[in-house]
Order: sequence, then structure tokens, then C-alpha cells
Amino acid sequence: MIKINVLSEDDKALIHEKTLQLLQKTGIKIKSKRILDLMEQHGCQVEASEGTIKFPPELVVKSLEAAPGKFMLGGLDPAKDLPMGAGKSYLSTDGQGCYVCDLETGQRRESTMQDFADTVALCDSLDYISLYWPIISALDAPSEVRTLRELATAYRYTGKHVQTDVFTPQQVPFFIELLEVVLGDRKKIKERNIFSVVCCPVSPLGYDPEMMEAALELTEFHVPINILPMPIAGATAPVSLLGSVLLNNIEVLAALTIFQSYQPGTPLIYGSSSGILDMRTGLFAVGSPEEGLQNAACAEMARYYGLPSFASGLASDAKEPGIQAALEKVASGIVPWLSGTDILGGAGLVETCQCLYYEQLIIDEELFGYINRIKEGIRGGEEYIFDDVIAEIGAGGHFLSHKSTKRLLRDGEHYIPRLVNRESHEVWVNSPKKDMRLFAREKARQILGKPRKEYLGPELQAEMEKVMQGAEKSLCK
Amino acid sequence: MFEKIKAAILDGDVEETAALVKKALADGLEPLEVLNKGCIPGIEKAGALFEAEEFFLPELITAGEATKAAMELLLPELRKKEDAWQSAGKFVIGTVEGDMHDIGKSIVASMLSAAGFEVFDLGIDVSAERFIEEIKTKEPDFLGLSALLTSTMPKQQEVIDALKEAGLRDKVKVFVGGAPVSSEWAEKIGADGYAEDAVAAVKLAKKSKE
Repeated sequence: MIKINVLSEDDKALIHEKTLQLLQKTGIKIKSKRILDLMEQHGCQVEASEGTIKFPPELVVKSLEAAPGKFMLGGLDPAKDLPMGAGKSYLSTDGQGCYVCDLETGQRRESTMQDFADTVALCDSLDYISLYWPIISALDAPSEVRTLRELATAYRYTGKHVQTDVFTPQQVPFFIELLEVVLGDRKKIKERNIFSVVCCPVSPLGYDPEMMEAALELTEFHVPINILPMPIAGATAPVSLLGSVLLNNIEVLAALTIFQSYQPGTPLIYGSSSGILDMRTGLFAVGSPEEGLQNAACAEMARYYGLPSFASGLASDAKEPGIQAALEKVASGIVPWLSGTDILGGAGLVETCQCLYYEQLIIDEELFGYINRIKEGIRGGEEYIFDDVIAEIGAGGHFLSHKSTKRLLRDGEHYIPRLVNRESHEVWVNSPKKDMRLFAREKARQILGKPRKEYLGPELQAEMEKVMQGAEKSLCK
Repeated sequence: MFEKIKAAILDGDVEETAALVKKALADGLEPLEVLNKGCIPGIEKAGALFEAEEFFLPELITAGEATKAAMELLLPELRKKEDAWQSAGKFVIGTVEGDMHDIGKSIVASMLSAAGFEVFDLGIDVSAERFIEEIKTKEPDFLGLSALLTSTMPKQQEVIDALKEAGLRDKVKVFVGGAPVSSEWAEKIGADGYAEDAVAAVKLAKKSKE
């Protein structure tokens, strides 16, 4: 297994030292009285009028110790559970796109609940995707209950772990109610962890008070939180990659200290969705070579603290699947994956994480298959040297019929491509695999055309609908 | 017993297949039945699995080798009853002069044997004269010419020209193959067909026999 490091030990120690210093001297901003009061009680220096919290280093260090290194991200299907901190890594979908390229018309349009249901069903059947982060938003649902309705749809069509957003503390009781319906028992919410939330700081050093308060309340139910900063080097973060990693680290550790102060032992994921500003267009660039380095560095900082990590990658700024998308996705995905991040996010979207192409999901599985094979590296030692086989075949023979060839092929020695075309020119001319994009689109169509696996019966769905209608009544203006 | 032979072939187990066929013959089973109910369903299934992308090439090839081993045991018995059985055809195959590439040609040879052809593999670096000589003595239905190098491809044409000179061109169908070879090339040099791999080669030979 290949594991690379993009940060030196000295730089990791430097980032840690500067993080503690800046958390104490500069601090963060959050306009939440509840959180300001909480942190004041825990010995932070708080300026209520500014919304500033400055953290004593001892509190940060104590909080890091309280955060667990191992926990489970559960699925409705227990076979799809994802142990965190167990040395395994997983691929996640990208999240929160808002456009979709219609599979039939080929037109780019706003994403809907129908697209949402389709992507869930598609991802449920894709074997490399381990975790479902709503890849696109159901923009036709009322915004106050959108992510609640999305979650209900997700559980209907997938047994995999689902991660989403909870935007306000007022939404929390309805999410808990929904989980109770799905699991049949309130106690199981804590046991199964079938749901985690994303909590995004507003770089630099700012936090959305409502999102933070919602996450704080969810800690009471042991809901894992993915603290996911998105600093942009050169714009919302220093231009240097090291400086942007430092800012990402500060933002994660501040939120971590708040959550651990409120509820010690809360399961947290150290996230990073860093990137750079493209200095010609002034736009966020995620498919850059720097992006892979930044997020790999953040995953290394997570490991430095013994925390599970989520790193963005497999990202692209191309507007549609093709050569640029493949180049950028491999470049931004391979570095964090080789660095050993626990979760790599990014499958399915292009256009700087905004637009879903169904065929891209299929293509991204193939890209992932390639980089994952590279990560597995060269199996070494006497067992794999095969000197005896060379001696047995001798000069001029071939190894195709040797028993070892069949055995190791079935054991994954060579990655077997699913989309890539290695046929002769003669065959390729008429091959259904001639154009990867069309072939992938056809595969997506085939999967979506099949009957869907349903994970919840009609009674449970009716009960979920009641919860959602209650939420609409209470939350929608 | 037939199921066991089929399974041994699918498993690519040459020794097991040979042992089972020997036992079947010793037990007095009809060789033609062993062929039709054991061997052919086995190799056909292997081919289907390969085309469905469930079998890898080594699995197809070992299934072919197991079938070939079975055929070697069955052929002498089958020949005794020529009214009931006929081979799929005689096939002479070799890699052309100056070319030392063996594997592709050998795979095609063993897949052809597995499909019921009587195969005479002349090996590598085979001169046009040798091909002519073998065709005169073996009188095959088919001749397979393999070339893996762009520099040896013209030798395929030389063999075809030599056949014409010897007045043998219409006695035998000539197929060409090898990495740089294409159907355009086959047409250009006046060959009767081209196949891109062993599976296609078997199909091509069977089709031209009809």
C-alpha cells in the first residue's frame, strides 16, 4: 500500500503551533449568543459585541484529546457500515450541486427531487461509492425543509451512509423525528449513526451561527459532524498552500473545541475542501494541482491529531465530461487518496462542484478504480516474486495458462477497466465502448431503467411524510 | 460424468479433464457423446463467459487447453467411426519467416483444436517453402499466417504469392492475424480473412466452412 506525505513533520508541528497561537490571539467570529456564552463558561475570551471567541491553548488541546479517533458511519444496511479510523478509506459523492445535465435532453438545468431520487438509486448500485452526500439539491422542494425531504428520499433508495446539511436549530427536532421513524427507535439514532452532517465555516475564521447551533444540538444525539472549511488560497486564505492549510486547520480546531466543550466525545470528521482562486477569471478553481496538495495536507493534519478525515478531490472546473474533466479529476483526486484520507469526496460533479452529469458518476468510478489500484501498490515478498514460475516456464514459453496467472487476476493483481477501451483499432471502430462518455451514459441509463431497490416500506414512507408535513407547517413561511 | 468434464474444462484443469475423459472411455462411454455432451458445452460456455466479460483471457485459454487435451484422447477413437464424426476441418498454422512470436499463434491453435479442428502447428519462423510443403502433404482446408511485426507482415503476402505459383491458392483458405494486421491488409494481400483474436479466429473458420 502506497502512502505519501505532502507535509514534513516540521511543517505539521509548525501548523499546530501557529494554530494554537492564532486561536488565542486572533480567534474566530460567530454571532451566536448561545455559543459565545458556552465558550465563555469554558474559559474562552469572548467579546459579545464583535462575536469574537479567543481560545486558550489548553482548552484546544483538551478538546483534541476528547474527540474520538474511531467511530462508525452507519448505513440503513449494516453491511454498508463504514468504520472510521480503522485504516480503511472510502469514496463519497460530491455534494450540493445545483445543476444537472438532463440525461434525455442533454440540457443543463436546475436539479430537482426527481434527479435527487435518481442519483440516490444510481449511487446505491455503484460499488465504489461508499457514502452518499446529496450530490445535487432538490431545488423544487421548499428551502426550509429541502434537506429533510432529501434525507427521506435518500433512505428510501439507499442502504449506504448519508451525510447532509441541517441549516437551522429549528430543523433539528424534525430530523430527529425522521430518524426515529426510519430506525423505529430513538435510542438507535445514537447507536447506528446512519446520518452525519456537514458544517461549513465561512472562511476566513467565520461561522454561520444557525448552522453551528444546529450541529451543536445534533451532538446530543451523537450525530457525527464533518467540519468542512473551503478556504480559497489567494482570496479567502493566504496565497501560499501552507498558509491555506493553516487556515483550514484553525477553522476545524475552533469548531472542534466548541463541539467537544459542549458534548465531549462527539464524533467529528476533519474536513477540507480547499482550493485556489484562478487569477485570470477570479473564480474558485477546484480541479487544480494545488487543490489535491492542499486537501492531502489537511488529511495529514487530521492524522497528526488522530482524527478521521474527509478530503475533497476528483474535482473539476470543466463544464462537461471530457478530457479536461478527466485530467483535473485524476490530478486532484490521486494526491489525497494516496495520502490516506479516510473519505475522498468528489464523484459525479463538474463545473466547480456545481453540475451533475450522470455519465460522470460512472466515469468517476473508473478514475477511482485507477487511482485506487495505484494506491494498492506492488505486493512484495517471496509470495509474489514468482521466480519458481519463471523457472518452470523457461525461455520462449508463456505465462497465460499458468495457474498463478488465473489466481492473481482473480485476486486483483491487475485492475480490470470497466470503461477504458483497449481493443484493437479494428474492433474499436464498431465498439459500443468507442466513446467513453456515450458508453457511460448508456450504463447510467441501464441502471436507472431497472426497478429500484426500496429500503423502506410504504407504511414507513407514510410516517415520514407526516413528519415532513409537520416540518413544512412549522418551518415554511 | 459429462457435467464433470464440462466443469473441469471450465476450470481449465488439463490433468483433471484428461483423467475424466480416460475414465469415460474406459467405462465404455461413446467418444462422440463425450465430445458433444462434455467437451463442447464446456468450451462453448467458456467462450460465452469470455464474451460476457466474466472470464479473463487466461481462463479462456486454459479452458481451451483442457479441451485440447480431451480432443487428443478422443480423436483416435473418433477416427475409427468416421461415418458418425467429422472434424471441423484441417488447419495448418504458423508464424511467418523472421518472426519469433509464438504466444498469439499458439492460443489460436489451441482454441481451434478445442473447437474440433485438426490443427497442425508449424511453430515460428516458418518459411514460405515449408508452408507449401506442409500444404501439399496435409491438404488442409485452412492456412493461418501469424505476423507480429510490421517488418514481417510482407511475408504473409510472400506465402500467398508462393501458393499461387505452386497452383495451390484455390485449395486452401488463407487467414491472417497478428497485432499490426488488419482486415484492410488481409484484403490488400489477397487473403481470405482476418481475425483480431482467438475467439474471432474460431468463428471465422467455422463460418467459412459453412
